[in-house]
Amino acid sequence: MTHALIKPRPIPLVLMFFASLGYLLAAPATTGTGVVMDVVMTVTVFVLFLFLFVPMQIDKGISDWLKNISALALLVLMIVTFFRWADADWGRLRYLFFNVEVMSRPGVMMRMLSGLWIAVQVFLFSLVLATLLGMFMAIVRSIVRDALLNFFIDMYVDVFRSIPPIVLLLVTYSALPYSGIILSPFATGVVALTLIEAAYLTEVFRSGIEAINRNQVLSARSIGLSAWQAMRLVVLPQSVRIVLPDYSNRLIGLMKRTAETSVIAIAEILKVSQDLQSQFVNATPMVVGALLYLVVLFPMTRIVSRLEKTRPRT
Amino acid sequence: MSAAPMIEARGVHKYFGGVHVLRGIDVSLAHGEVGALMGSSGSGKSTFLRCLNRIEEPSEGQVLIDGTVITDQRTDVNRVRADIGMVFQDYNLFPHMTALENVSLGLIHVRKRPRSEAKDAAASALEQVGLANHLTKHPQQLSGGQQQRVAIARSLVMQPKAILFDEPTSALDPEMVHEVLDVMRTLASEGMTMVVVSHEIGFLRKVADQLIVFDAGLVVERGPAARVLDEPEHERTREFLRALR
Amino acid sequence: MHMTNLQTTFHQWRKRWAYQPWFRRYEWLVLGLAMWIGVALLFLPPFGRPTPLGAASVIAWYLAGFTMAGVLLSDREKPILLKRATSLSVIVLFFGLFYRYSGTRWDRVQSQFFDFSRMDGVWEMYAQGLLVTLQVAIVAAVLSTIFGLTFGILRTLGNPVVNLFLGLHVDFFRALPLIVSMVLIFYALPFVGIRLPAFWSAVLALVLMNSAYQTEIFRAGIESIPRGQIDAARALGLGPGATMRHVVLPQALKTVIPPLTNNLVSLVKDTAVAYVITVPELLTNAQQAVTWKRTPTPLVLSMFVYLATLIPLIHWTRRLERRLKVGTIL
Repeated sequence: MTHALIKPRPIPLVLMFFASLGYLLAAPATTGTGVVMDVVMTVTVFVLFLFLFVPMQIDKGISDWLKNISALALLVLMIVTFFRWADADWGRLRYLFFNVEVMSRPGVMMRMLSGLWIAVQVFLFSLVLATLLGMFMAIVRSIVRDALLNFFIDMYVDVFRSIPPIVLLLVTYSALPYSGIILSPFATGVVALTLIEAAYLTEVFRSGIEAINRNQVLSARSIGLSAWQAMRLVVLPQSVRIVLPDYSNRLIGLMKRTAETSVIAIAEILKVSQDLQSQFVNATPMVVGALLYLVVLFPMTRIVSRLEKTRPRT
Repeated sequence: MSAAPMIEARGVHKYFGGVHVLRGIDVSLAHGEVGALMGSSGSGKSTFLRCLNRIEEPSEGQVLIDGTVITDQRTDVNRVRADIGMVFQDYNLFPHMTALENVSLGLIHVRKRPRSEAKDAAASALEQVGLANHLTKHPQQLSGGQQQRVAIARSLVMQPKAILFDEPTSALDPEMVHEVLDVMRTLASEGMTMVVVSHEIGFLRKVADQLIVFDAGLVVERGPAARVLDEPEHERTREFLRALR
Repeated sequence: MHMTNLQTTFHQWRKRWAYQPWFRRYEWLVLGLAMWIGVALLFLPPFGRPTPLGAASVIAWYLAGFTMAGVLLSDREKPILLKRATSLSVIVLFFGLFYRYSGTRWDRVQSQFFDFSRMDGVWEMYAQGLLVTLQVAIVAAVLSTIFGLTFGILRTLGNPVVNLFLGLHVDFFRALPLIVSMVLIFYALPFVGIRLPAFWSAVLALVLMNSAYQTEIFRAGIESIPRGQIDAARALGLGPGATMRHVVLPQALKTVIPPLTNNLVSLVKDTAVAYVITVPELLTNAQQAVTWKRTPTPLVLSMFVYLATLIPLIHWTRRLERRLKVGTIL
């Protein structure tokens, strides 16, 4: 029975595609109770299409160009569904989301770019401080084998990996002034992000240090290298290779988290975009803001994806 | 004994990217015959073996099992594979199942037998290979030789028309090679059609009917096992046998 | 007689430590400690916020003590009791310095941040908020796992077009900050007439982001199954679906469960971000309570509620990971 289900059938697939397309284009997007019927029909249509689509993809006998065409067909269906439900007309869409005029008003792009610059600054400061703190705690944790220090470090790590960053940002922001510690929002954000990131980095660096087999250190020491030299020449170079993919992942996470600092009035990208959006009643700044994030982060994620594939097997 | 060969390959070619690994192989094996494939590594013998049940797809040529062309696009590969067993060099038992479950999996999900019937058949197959007391053990708890025997039972229980062996003893410690070869010898004497890729010359001399020597993607020599081993005609065969000694 | 005995013991003691470098010897450590305490008594600023110079000197002084402690702690031959005492003092000193020099009005802290008298009604708000948080997290978790599993399997099939699109989806949503996608969905999409309620906007943003991560997790798990297993299954005659179901997925499960549980725990944390799109979850409720009661206490205490919820979860997942490594379950 499963064989019959899995057998690829190109012709029914083509028919299903046209049927789905026909339904999606013809039936108007309704409101009210009709919406539920519409959703159910659309979902059914998609499920039926997928039933025929997936076997086509899996089977090795089907030629590649057929597979690609069917993948494109699926994409077309998805796009058509989106535009069908998006009650849009194109001029309006462009006016609301891709409005060049709004963006070219004086000062707008400057504000967005300065938002970007601030985000980058928050990122860099937090990164450096968190790396130092994290590396320090990792070394203490895995080399100085003291039960008490270990306990405190573990507690620190557990606590700061459990607090949602946005909560810590808000707490430090509202708590600190009351206690007489006056820090700028920028510094508060950096402190909060550093504390959180250091907790994660401790774990990252620890696994890098502990992954190096003790025997390596022993053989290095046995030829006369001091503890420090052994660390520098044997342990660290290997640890770096192991740690790099995880570290880069956390870098990306940190950069993303700078967006959350917008809740404590740091004028970074998201905050600027939101202000501009309410000022001009136009969604373009948000879109541009998202694009700015992507411009910075998308290349990073591509690089990290490729780095992850070369992770050495310990 | 029917006249048509059990396993036949006609002009099988295989390309891996730009590399021409099999350059036109013709092989014919009658019912109940044991064919041995020999050759240095990279000569294509393992690739050819895997073409026989389409684990590797031949780029050109045909493979026939019991008269049916299996390289046809329309053939149901899974039905074909149910009739041909395969035993791998590294056993490839499923670690998350017991020996009994490993052996009965094929019967339950491919031949669609009811569970109890499958379990009984699996138990007797395991008995046949001498592992009646190890039914509920996981592969990790068995020695290499035992694992390989479970793998053989897994193929046997499907009542195949032929069994393919891809260097079945190469990964075993010397003490365990015997037990596996004994099982194979018994199978051969019971009339199972077998294609074996192996370096165990002593075993092949006694058990194999036909010896086929591969070199660089071509068959350089074939004939009765004893004759090829004692009086090799082709230069490459001689070199290969010399290296083995 | 006594003098000779004393001398012998003293010599023996000196010999024992003779091969150590000078800074590890007790003599120097005691001397250093004495000097360090002397500096403290003479030069450290008084209670209250110090001048920049004062702050620098405090930090330098602490670091000096810290280094000495480090020397002691990294020495394997010093007695454990001494090491424990040292580390305890290091930590106590840190907090002591913070207490002394941060300029915090400690009397005010308790009344401001831990004013339990004004917490009536807030506890109910916490409970309601926590419930919504868990709802969002669970719905998002289930949906993103379904999508993650599907996309993960699709990615292992090798079709270049599928791989391209899914790869783009994965990298795109790993690059876009969660808060940005939530805000876009909730505030920007209405401009095109798509008005999702806050709950579903949050869920959608979470699913989009999380399914990207889970696709990679499942894909790595499936690809970690050695090729031989699949060969053996195919050689038996099992079709691709049956192979996946009976051979690949059960084994992939073991690799996949640790990152998956980690992922789900961070999902609970990420729901706090939904605060910015007014989902009535824990943080939003806490902030409302802050405005209502005019004290920051609810916010501070909500932090502890998060801790109380998440730390047990983290410990439970860690225990699960450890049991999986040993292989006692599955």
